Amino acid sequence: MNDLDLVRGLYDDDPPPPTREAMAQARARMLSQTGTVRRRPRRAWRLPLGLVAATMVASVVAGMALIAHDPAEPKKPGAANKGVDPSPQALTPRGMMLAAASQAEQQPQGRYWFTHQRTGLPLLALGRTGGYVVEERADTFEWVGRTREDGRAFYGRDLGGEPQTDADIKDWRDAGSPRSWQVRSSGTTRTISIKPGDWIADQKKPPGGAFTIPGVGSFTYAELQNLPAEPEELRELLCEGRVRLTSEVAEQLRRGGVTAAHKSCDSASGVLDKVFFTLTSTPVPPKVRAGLMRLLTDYPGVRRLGAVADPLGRPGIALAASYKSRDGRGTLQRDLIFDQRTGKVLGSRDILKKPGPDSQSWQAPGRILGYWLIVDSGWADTRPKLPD
Amino acid sequence: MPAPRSVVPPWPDDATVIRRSWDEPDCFGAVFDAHYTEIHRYASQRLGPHAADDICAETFALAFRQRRRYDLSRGSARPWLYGIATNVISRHRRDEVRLLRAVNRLRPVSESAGGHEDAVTAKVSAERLQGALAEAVAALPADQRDVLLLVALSGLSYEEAAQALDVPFGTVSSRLNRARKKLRKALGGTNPLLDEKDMHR
Repeated sequence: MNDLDLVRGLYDDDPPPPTREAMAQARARMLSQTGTVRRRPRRAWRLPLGLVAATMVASVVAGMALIAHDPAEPKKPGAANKGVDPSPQALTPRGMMLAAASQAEQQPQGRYWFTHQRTGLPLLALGRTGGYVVEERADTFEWVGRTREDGRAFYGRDLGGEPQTDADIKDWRDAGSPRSWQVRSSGTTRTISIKPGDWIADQKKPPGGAFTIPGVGSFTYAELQNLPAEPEELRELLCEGRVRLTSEVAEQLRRGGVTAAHKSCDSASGVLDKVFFTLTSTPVPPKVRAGLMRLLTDYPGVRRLGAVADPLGRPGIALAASYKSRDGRGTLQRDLIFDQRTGKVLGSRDILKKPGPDSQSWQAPGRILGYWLIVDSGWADTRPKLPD
Repeated sequence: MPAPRSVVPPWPDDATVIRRSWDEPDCFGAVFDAHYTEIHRYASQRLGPHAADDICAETFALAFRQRRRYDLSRGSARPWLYGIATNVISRHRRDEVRLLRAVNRLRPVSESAGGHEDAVTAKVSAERLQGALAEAVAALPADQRDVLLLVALSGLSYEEAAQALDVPFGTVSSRLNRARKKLRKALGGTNPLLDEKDMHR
């Protein structure tokens, strides 16, 4: 035994590992600094004039459309004779988005906010029984109380893998329907099982009442209530100034003479990401959700796709922005999908448009290269229960 | 259908990934994935699990911002990341010293439940020793403590520790030797638990 061993003996040999939540936040915070190396000029984009009026018209039209399509509310005789077909198909993609935004304004709130999210990463199954694409899936479930005292909880689970497309399912069956697959990504080879794992709770029990938007900052419930609802003000909040730190972290950094990173939104896809994170990481009040949706709907470079189905087969309407992959996988289109009836986010997905120098052969145009879904989210008045 | 050979590339080392991240920042995620847990462990040991989350988030945020300054001749990013973490930790010097003094004060006097008398005596003296050691580590000048803990906790070689702290190899050796001399002195010079031969590795 030498003195270095004694020094080692002073320290916890096996400190608690980092929580998934802290890791995810640290990773997102790190990558959200993209563009802070070069300062970007202030974007001269402003909300197009007349949007406010257009929004109001669309809301009225959408309101009719929704009533006509709600199965619980049969069409009233005569209502269809007004000469306007109020079906959602009659709306332009932009009208659909604005209708969803006005629905978002109607959602009620409660004491505990929860979100159940699912990510999927398609990977090539390797080896003798491979050769097709398997999605590696993981779930997270988190609830946060409205006040500090209400607490919070965070859980994660591996959901196991499944072949991605019908063709992949066929190839998997032809390979003898193996129950696990070897895959390789991020520098490691690992095994994905078909069998889902159990929920694992993060042991850390931080207080409730605060919400972090990656790359934007931390906000208390009360601060979320005071966020602006105007699209241009929201763009400034998401894309300009410095990341807003909790007072605790800000104090630590101040002692070290370090200030928070600059926020930035790199092109339309950058704004789309910020809107996605805000809508899925926090219970911003309905009017702010609506404002964010309006911001994105009319943002230059964002395309309005109209009706789509998400990777779980749920019907939705989507906005999309293309971006060039930074790891050589070519040009991808990121879709942000909303439920038109509630205005809630269903999730996002990346579709390959044009392969790049490092694309693998299975990564062909039209293939989904990843998704991040909101299985469910909302408010509850009692502590939310883990989903099955 | 077996996987075509072309889709299973040999995985690049950290330097290659970091070089790529100069133009394609998202690539840096792979560096995070490969090393976050290890750096978190180090921060957690020195400042406790709660502070470790913030320390690590800051370490990787800084690493990302400094990725263009990475020396591409170094295949592994471990020393570099340990160095950044050590610098971030050094901003919390007072907290670290407070923690070490707390070890000295709070280390419980051994419970005698069912212990053979000799075993209990040995345990108590080991605890005294640890308390004195914690106090001695707390009393070290910060630069010596950083070298000592970096080498003891990270498992980096002296060479790598020198890279990590961006100081010459000789500086690492001399800081470490001075630190170890002080620790030995604090432990009473000739402690029976110490093997003299190990002191000059």
